[in-house]
Amino acid sequence: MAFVRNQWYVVAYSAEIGPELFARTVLGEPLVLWRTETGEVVALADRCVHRRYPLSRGHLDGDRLVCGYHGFTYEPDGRCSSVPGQNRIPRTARVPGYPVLEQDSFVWVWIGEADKADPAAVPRAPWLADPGYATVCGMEPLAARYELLVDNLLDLSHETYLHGGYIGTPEVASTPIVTEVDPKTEVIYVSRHMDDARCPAFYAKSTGLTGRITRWQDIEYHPPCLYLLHSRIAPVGSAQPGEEGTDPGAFHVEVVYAITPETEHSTHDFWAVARDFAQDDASVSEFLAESNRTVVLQDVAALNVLEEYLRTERPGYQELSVNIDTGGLAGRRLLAEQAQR
Amino acid sequence: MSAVLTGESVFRVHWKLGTDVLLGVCHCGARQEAEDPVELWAWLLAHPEGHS
Repeated sequence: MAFVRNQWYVVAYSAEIGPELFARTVLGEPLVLWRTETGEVVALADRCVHRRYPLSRGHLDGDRLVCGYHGFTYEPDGRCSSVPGQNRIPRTARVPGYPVLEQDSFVWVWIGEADKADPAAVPRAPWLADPGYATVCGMEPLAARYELLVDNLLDLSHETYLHGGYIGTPEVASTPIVTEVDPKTEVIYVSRHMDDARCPAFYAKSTGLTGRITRWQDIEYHPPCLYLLHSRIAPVGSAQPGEEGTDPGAFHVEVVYAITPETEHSTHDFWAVARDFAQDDASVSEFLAESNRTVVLQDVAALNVLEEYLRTERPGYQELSVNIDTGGLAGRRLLAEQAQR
Repeated sequence: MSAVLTGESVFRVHWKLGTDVLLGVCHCGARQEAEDPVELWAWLLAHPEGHS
């Protein structure tokens, strides 16, 4: 499937971008990013107009980027301001710049038509920058097309089999789901509410709960990039959330993924886990970071294998979709519609 | 389980508890049962065709 170009994508965590050159490819476009002296993030095409040398191999001179091959010098807006050995700067000496903005601890970039980049359209993950939550995060490279990760995350029944011992228990695969799609706002919501479930190690060790739990998994996917899993854990018999949004008897974990295609067959798999309990307990942070990274790497290993096999399949190969795929099918349809626009 | 999305154009699919049956509910109120999610999405997204 073609890339969905006219959308915002996470290119990095804000903390990754400083006053040094940083290279990352998004939707097949190599980018060079840095933070200017006034603190703004800049994203330019990572190729010198001269001989296509990667600008990320150059260096910064104040806010100017100097190519590491022949010294072509660029302003933060991509305009070339110095050419070696001559005074004349050719009119076409400019590298493309890309709209960027920072929100919720992420740097977002717009690769498509710049005049369509609406900052208000960036979906939110407010927990990641909320002092009431403690967050651990990371990014794993995935050698697979991003659609495989979307499929994976919209059907959490795979937790039982791929992530047993971490986040999977038998109830995940055996509890029915409700899937909602709003084509206007382009949101997919998949709910799986387990009323009486075993507490997996991921939550038992972080919350201290040892008995049976009610476990809610509410997926909110904003295609193509942002995936939110609202996870609610409470002892069986605890009070339901109040109508005004209060829920003191439960533990809440917001699991956030940003799914950013690098190339047609590779993906940046950003993940973050934000919790509203034990915020100051470093051992809980360490445990959740290690556990979630392990889970992500289990997915990465499986999807890397799947990508390898899919690339050798004959065109038009058949799949079989069943009830657990209801959310994933909705995701595929919305992505296909976005790609056609 | 109650609905979460509240827009006027929401399509909804319930997996009926203890069965293999999916219940599709269109924003126009039309309902359809199926055991194949591909078939059910095709029916939902064909709105208003066949949604009497």
